[in-house]
Amino acid sequence: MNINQISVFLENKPGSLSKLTGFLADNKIDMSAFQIVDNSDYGIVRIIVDKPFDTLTMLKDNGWVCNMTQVVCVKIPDAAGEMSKALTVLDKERISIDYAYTYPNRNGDGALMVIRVAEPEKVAGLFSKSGIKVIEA
Amino acid sequence: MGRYFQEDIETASREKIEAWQNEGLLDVVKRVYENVPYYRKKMEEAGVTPDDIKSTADLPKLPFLTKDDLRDAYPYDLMALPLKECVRIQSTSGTTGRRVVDFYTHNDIDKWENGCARAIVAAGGDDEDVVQVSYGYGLFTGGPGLNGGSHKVGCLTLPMSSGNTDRQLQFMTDLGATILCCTPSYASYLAESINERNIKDKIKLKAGIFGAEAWSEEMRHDIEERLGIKAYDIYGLTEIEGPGVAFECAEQNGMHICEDYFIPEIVDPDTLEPVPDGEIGELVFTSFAKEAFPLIRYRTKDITYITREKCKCGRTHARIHRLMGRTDDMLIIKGVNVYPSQVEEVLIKHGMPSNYQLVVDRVNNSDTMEVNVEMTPEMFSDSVADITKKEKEIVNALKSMLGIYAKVKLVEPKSITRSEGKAVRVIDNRKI
Ligand SMILES: [Zn+2]
Repeated sequence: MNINQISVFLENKPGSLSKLTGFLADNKIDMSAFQIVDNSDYGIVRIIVDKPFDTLTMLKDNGWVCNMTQVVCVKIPDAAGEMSKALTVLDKERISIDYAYTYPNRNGDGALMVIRVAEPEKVAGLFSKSGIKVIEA
Repeated sequence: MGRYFQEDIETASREKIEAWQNEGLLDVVKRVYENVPYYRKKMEEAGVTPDDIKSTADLPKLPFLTKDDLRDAYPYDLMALPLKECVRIQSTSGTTGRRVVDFYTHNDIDKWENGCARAIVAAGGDDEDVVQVSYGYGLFTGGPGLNGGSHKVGCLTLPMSSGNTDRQLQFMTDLGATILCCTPSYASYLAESINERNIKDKIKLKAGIFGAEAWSEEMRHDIEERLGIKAYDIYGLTEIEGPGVAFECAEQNGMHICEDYFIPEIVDPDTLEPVPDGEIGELVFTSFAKEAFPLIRYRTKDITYITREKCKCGRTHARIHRLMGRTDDMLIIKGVNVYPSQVEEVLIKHGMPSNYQLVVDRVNNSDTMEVNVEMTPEMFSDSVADITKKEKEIVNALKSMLGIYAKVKLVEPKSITRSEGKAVRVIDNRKI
């Protein structure tokens, strides 16, 4: 019931990011979320795409170092306190978050938040029970 | 035949080995001082006489001998016996300068072949075995050395010499060769040819004794897998006698030096001071048992380290680690000697590719070293914290191996420059 996120290793040097985005565009991969985390030498690009398995194979075949992880994706309505409400669910259960990021909902309806946790299935269940909408692949 | 070729010698106590070496050193120093003007002059220049040498602890008093000495002394000036006492000559290829020659008496050949016989038995050989010697024969020591060793063990010996792969494979299959002796690169080539001809099921090999060139642990595994054998390293050099100076046992954890013939030392190639066991440096040999052409403190330029701990195989003779390069590869960073192969060893231990690059620079009058390593799928994670943790492990392992801090920089796969398929290992940007 969760979403497969792809992470790609990129060296911090001019052109490496556009090489990746160019590759995705050339292969007509539809990307809905995109985030970069980096330190001074390298970055990790995390993306959510329409065909994650095909994309992963394609990237690997073309020499990228990448992997796939299951993340939980929830809908955050466009109203004050909604994000906090979602995170409180995890706090109560003392679940720690490895990382999280948000991106706009395509339907223009609030935002979507991606959350990386150790047990995504369990966390998705907790959200559903608390009335928070979990987005499925 | 059992597990040893000469059990009493190969498993002798350290005290006994040291006694042989002390006695042998005194004898050889006296012999060269009296009979070799070249040595006598060197010793006089160093202000040392045979009376100053009482045990191996006095070795540092003696001058070193280098390949240049051997070239200067070519062909007869280092001989300790008249030519009529000698029965054989062997030589290096001379591709990198003047030829270097070695002379042998009957006894010298006997001892040399003992070393090779020990290597064959240590590789599991006995008189039931068929040994295919595919090292070159002739002036090169590889073929004659293993050939003689194989005879001593009582193996059926195939004196193939190198080259003519079709004939090699025909004899290997028709006569059921069980032990192959050749260079690791030729073993690799034979494995490929066996695969191409689809004759793996006709091959009866169980072991290989490979030497005469540097090879890596990775290459060992590759050859072992492709030929379905256990691959043993063997060390030697023409100047000292040839193959069999040191050889691996079934533990594959270092090569046993024939310490009843040779005294090994490891010295800092920069200061030439001896270093403690376990520390990396240049391998130096004193071939005290040689009659015709003994060498004292001969600098091999080979980089390794030594252990005198007893081996699980029962042999007590000291072991040298697989060769880690040549002194010419050495870098001095912050006053510390660094060999690229040390970095390689740390990377392989941490599951990283051996494809790396060292970038050395000088910033504010201080040396810096950066190790570029290509990212692998195994090391990659979607979390920076995970990658940083692994990066730190490598940095710490490098620090404990090298004694200095080296920054690890993860780069994209295939991004390390290769020239003609070989990676450029060191980029030294220091302008000194
Ligand atoms: Zn051993």
